Amino acid sequence: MSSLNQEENLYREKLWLETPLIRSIHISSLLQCNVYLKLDTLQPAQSFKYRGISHFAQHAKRTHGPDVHLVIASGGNAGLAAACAANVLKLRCTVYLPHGVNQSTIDFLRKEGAEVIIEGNYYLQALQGARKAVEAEPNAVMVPAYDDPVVWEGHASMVHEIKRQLPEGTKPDAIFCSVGGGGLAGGIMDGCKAVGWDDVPLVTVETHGSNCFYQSLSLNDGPFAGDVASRAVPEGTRPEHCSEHKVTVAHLATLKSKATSLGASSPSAAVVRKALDRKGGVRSVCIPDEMAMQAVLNFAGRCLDHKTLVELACSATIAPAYKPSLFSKLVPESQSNKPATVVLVVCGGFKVSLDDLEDYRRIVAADLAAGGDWEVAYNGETLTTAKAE
Amino acid sequence: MPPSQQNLYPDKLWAETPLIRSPHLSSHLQAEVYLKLETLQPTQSFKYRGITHYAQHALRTHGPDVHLVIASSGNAGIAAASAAKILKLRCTVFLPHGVSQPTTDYMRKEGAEIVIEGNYYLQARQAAQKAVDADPKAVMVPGYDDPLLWEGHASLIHEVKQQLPTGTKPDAIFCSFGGGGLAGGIIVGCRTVGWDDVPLVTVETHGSNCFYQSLSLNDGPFAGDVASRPIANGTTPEHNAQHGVTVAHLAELTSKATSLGASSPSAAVVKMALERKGDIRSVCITDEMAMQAALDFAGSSFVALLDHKMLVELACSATIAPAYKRDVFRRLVSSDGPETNKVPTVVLVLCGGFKVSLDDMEEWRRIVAADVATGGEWDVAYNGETFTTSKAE
Repeated sequence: MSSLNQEENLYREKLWLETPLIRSIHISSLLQCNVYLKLDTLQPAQSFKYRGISHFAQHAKRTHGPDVHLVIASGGNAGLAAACAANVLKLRCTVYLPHGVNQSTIDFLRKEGAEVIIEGNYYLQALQGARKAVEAEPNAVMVPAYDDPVVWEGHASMVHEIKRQLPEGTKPDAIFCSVGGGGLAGGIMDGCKAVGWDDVPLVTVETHGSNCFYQSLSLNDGPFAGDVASRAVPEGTRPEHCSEHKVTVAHLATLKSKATSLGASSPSAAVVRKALDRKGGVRSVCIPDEMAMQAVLNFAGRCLDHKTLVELACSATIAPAYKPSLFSKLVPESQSNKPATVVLVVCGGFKVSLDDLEDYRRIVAADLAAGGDWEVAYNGETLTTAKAE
Repeated sequence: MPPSQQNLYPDKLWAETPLIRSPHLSSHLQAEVYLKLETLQPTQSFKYRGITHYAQHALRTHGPDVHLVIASSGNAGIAAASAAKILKLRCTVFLPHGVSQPTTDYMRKEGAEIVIEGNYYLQARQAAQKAVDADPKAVMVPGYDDPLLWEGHASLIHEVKQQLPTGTKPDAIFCSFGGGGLAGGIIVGCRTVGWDDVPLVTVETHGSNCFYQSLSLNDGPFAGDVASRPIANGTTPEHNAQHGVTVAHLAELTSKATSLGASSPSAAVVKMALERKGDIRSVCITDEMAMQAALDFAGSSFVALLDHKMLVELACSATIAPAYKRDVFRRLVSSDGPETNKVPTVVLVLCGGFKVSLDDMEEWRRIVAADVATGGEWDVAYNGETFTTSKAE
C-alpha cells in the first residue's frame, strides 16, 4: 500500500491540523542547507501532542463508546491536548495535577471542559491518583503521555505530511526533534518507517539536566562510542533493564533543566529499542539550558527570524541550527557539494511568555559574560560550541 | 485546492497559509474567531501573494530580461526581492538613507541590488521612477494600487472559503489598511466567491488613517453629510476623476505602525469599498491599543499562556486589537438579524510583516504601561463617530 493510501486510511477522521512546513530563509542561509521547519506550534493545544493524543482519544471512543472517560495526570502539554481532544469529541476528561500547579494552567484546562483534580504534592502522587481512578471506574481510560503505539501512530502523521510537503522526491538528510519521554521520536521513527525513510538520520535533542534518553542510549550497545561497560553512569541514575524490549533504560532521580516539558525520569523503552534498531540510527545530543534559551530569543526576536515564541523544550531542537560548526558535526552530510535538506520539528508547547524571554535574556547575557564555551554531548562524546552568536 | 482556484493561480509562488481557530479569542468574544496567518508567507507578509503574481505577469509579458524596480523599505521591497530571486529576474530596490541594516541585508541576501537615495521615501520613489523611465526593460512594482496585486492578494479569500467549515460565510472579515492593497484584494476575492455582502472591517491607527479620512470625504458609510464633516489639519482632499471619488492626502503620518504608512489610499480601492454590497466598517485605533494587542497576542505573561506566541508588527496587531476589547468588537460585529443567538464567525487577516523584534515588544510594554498609568480611555473612531474603550485588559 502506498504511503499516501496508508495516510488516508489511518488518518481519515483526524482532528489535528496539517501544519505548514516552511523553509527558513535565515537558517538555510546560515547553514548553506535547505532547512525546513515543521510548525506544530500551530496545532490546537499548541503542540504536536494533539496529534497522538487526539488519535488515542478517537480510538478510545471507537473501542469503548461515547461514555469513555479520559483520565490523565499532566499539567503540561499532554494534559492540555487531552482536554482539547475530549472537548471536541464530547468525552468526559479528568486531569490530575499536584498542588502548586499554576492557576492559569488549571483555568485553561477547565476552559476546555476538563475536570481538574488536585491531588498530592508531587507529580507521582497525582499520577497515582489518576491510576486509582482508572482502576475504580470501568469507563475510565488512562491517556498515555508518550509510551503507546496508538499515540506514536498519531504523531507519525507529521512525517507523512513532511514527505508530501517537501519538494517532490526529496529525502531529508536529517530530521531533528526534541526528546522528553520519547513520544515524538517514537512517532517520527514509525512515520519514517512507513514512508520509506527508515534510513534517514534522526538527531534527538535534550538538555543536560533532562536527558533520560541520552543516558539510556549510553546504557546499551548502540551509536555511542566505546564499550557499554566503560561508560560512566552519572550519580542519581539507576539503570533498569526492560526484558520486554531488551533494552536498559536510565531512571533519573532528579531533573534539573528549566526545559520542564522534557521532564521524564525515564524514556519509553520501546522507543529506545526503535532508536537502536533503525537503519538511519540516532544522533543523541544534549545541550545546556542557556543554549536553548539563546535559541528561543533568536527564533522569536531577530527581525528576519520566525517571530514565534517557543518553549525551551522546543527551542532545543532549533538550537544546534544556530551554531554552524556544531551543526556540521551533527550533520556531516551538510558539508557535501549538494545542499543538504534538513527538517527541524518545531514541537510547540504552551509554557512560554514574553516574561520568560526577559529572564532568558538576562541569564544568557550573564552566561556569556562568564566566558568559556558551551558543552554539547553527542553520542558519548563532548563537543564545545561558542556561546557568542 | 479546488479546480477553480487552480486555474486562476496555476503557477502560484505563495503559500496556502493556515486558517486557525483561536480558542482564546473565540472564548473571549463568544464568537468563532479565525486567524488567517499571512505571517507564514515566505517573506512574512501577505504582500508576497500580490507581488509574486505581479512579477510572474511581468515575466510573461516582458520576458526574462525584465527588470523589477521598487521603492520600499518595507514588506513590499522584501517581497519583490524574493519574487525576483525565485523567478531569476533582476531587481533593484530604491531606499532612502537610514533604512536598517537587517532590512538591506535581507534584500541583498535575496539578490536584489540596493540603491540608497534621498532622505525621504518620496525621494527614493522619484529616483526609482527615473530609473524606470530610463530603462526600457524596467517595470515599477506597485506597492498597493494595481489590479494585478489585488488579484494575487484575493487568493487568500479563496483559501479562507475552502478552509472554513463547509458552507460557513463570515459575519465579518477584519484587515489592516495602509494604502489599500490588502483590502482591495479582499474585496475582489469576496466578489469572486460570492461574499460581496460580507462586512469588511478595516483597521488603521489615528496617526496613519488615509482611508478613514478618504471615506469621510465621500457619501458612504459615515454618519451625516459630507459637507458637515471636518477635514483634519494637514489633510488635502483630492478628487480622482477616473474613479469618481475624493481621496485624502495626508501631509504627515505620525503613527508608529509605519507599515501602514501611506499618505493617500488607492482611489480605486476607495471606490470598490463604497460600491460593494457588504458594509465597510472603517476603524481607527491608538498606537498604544495596537501595542497592547501585540503584547497580548505574543503572550506577555504567564496568565496569557493560551495566546498565540507570535510577534507581529503594529500594522498587523491593529487588526487583532478590536478583538481584545469586547465592547469595541460588539459594536463592529453584531448579530443583527432574527437569529440573535447565532454565534458570529469572524476572520481576522493577520497580514504579517517583518518589522518587529523583542526589543520592540519591550519598548511597547513600557509605552503601554506608562499610558495606562495616566488613566483615561482610548479613543476609537468608527465610520465618523468616536467612542472610547478601556485601557485595561
